[in-house]
Amino acid sequence: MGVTSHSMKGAQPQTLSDAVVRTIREPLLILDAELRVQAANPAFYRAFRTDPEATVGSLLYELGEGQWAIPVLRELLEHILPQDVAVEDFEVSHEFRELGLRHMLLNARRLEASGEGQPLILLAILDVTERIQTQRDLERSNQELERFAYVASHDLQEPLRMVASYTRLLARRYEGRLDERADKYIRYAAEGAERMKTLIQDLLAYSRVGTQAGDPVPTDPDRVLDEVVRDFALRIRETGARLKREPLPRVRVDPGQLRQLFQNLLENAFKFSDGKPPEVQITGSRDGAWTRITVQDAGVGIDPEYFERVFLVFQRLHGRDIEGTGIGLALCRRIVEHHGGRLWVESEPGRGATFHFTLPASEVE
Amino acid sequence: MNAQTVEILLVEDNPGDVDLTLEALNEAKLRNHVHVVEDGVKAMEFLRREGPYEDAPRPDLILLDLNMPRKDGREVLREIKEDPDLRRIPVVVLTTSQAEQDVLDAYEHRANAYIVKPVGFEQFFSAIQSLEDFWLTVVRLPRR
Repeated sequence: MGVTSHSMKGAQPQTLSDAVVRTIREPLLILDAELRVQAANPAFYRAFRTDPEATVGSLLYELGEGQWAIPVLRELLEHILPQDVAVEDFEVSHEFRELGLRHMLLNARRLEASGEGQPLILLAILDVTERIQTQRDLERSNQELERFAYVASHDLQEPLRMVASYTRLLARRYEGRLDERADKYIRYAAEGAERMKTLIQDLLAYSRVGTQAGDPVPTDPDRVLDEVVRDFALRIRETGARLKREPLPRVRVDPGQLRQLFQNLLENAFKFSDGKPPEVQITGSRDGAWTRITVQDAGVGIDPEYFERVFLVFQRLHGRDIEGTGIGLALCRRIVEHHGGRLWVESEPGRGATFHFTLPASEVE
Repeated sequence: MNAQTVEILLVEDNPGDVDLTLEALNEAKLRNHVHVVEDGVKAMEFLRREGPYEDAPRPDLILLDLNMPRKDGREVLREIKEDPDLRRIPVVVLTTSQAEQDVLDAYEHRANAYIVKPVGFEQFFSAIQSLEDFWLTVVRLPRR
């Protein structure tokens, strides 16, 4: 195939372009002004399981099973030479007899003539079937997750309410009136139901990060944090907690999720304050297209060995005496990653923990 | 002044929830008498004093579940509030549904209040007690 091309340092233009055309995996076609195939590369023959005999000299729309016989495509291609316009990302889908259903994207542009030849059209074909399939699988999987979340929330709650309520009622009514063992058994059942309730609610919150996300909007993290701090007001008073804040740069997020994020991080700082009044410092800075926010506490800290494990769903580092299902940080990470950012922790046991996360910065200042 | 014994109609198909509500109302400050029907058809018969409910008293307050067989709470609410004879009776919707649409529809059809049944017993109890406190002692109800 003789084509003009931009030279890469060192390589002869002719040899380079030949090598490129022969080696690349994208099927390429050269068409003339009548949309007749002048040449095709090996990738084309491989992809469509055909040969030069069936291809060179044929009109584009005669090729194969007529998959290119699309009037709109034809019109676009016929404009390329006279108007020097390019075609980009033209979608073609076709159910091939042998290859099955394939989705393809076409690019085409004018090729200047070499020597005295006529100008030609270079047509490149990209098979995006796998990508589209993966997207569809993802959508389906998301829908299934949402359905599951709905079942978990709605249908499980009634049986849960029965078990939770009646074990408590039993305890209330018969505590001390049956034997000690009965009291203990009833208590185990009641506490189990309580944990089940929290688990279901946490799972729901976790699954909703992806399925019920609101659109990201320019958000002032300070306003969101104000609300969260208001919710914590009583606990702050009761524990004598100290909160230090610096103004935070704006972000582009789902405000509801940012609120959950702050709530969980603050909740952790309070929970792991190691008996002392919690001390929390929240700062932030702009870093190019991102805003980085830091939540630092002076509590019990985390062993570096567990820096990754804390973010896993339901991984708990403490015994039963500390409340919680261990989903808080997993939820935080999911929220941050849903926005394209990162969440990580720095800590020394006994010297508190510092959580850093990045979120897309908002252009509107 | 509210009557000495308050008549409450509980429209609820889940026997477990019925007993829970009865337990909670049992500890109420005011003496109350709870009538229970398990679906919307029986609810309307009770209110209209038809069939087996000829001698039914007129309730001072209706606690209404939404999801029931035969005739659900949404229809019952509509019928009650469209009936000039019945619409003065306060109706409190007491349901598992948290769906925003259900809340909107209930208030749209003039429910007096909408309560989502809490999962925990203590909260359920306390919700019923608040209900009773508010509707039967703080609030003034129309004469029967």
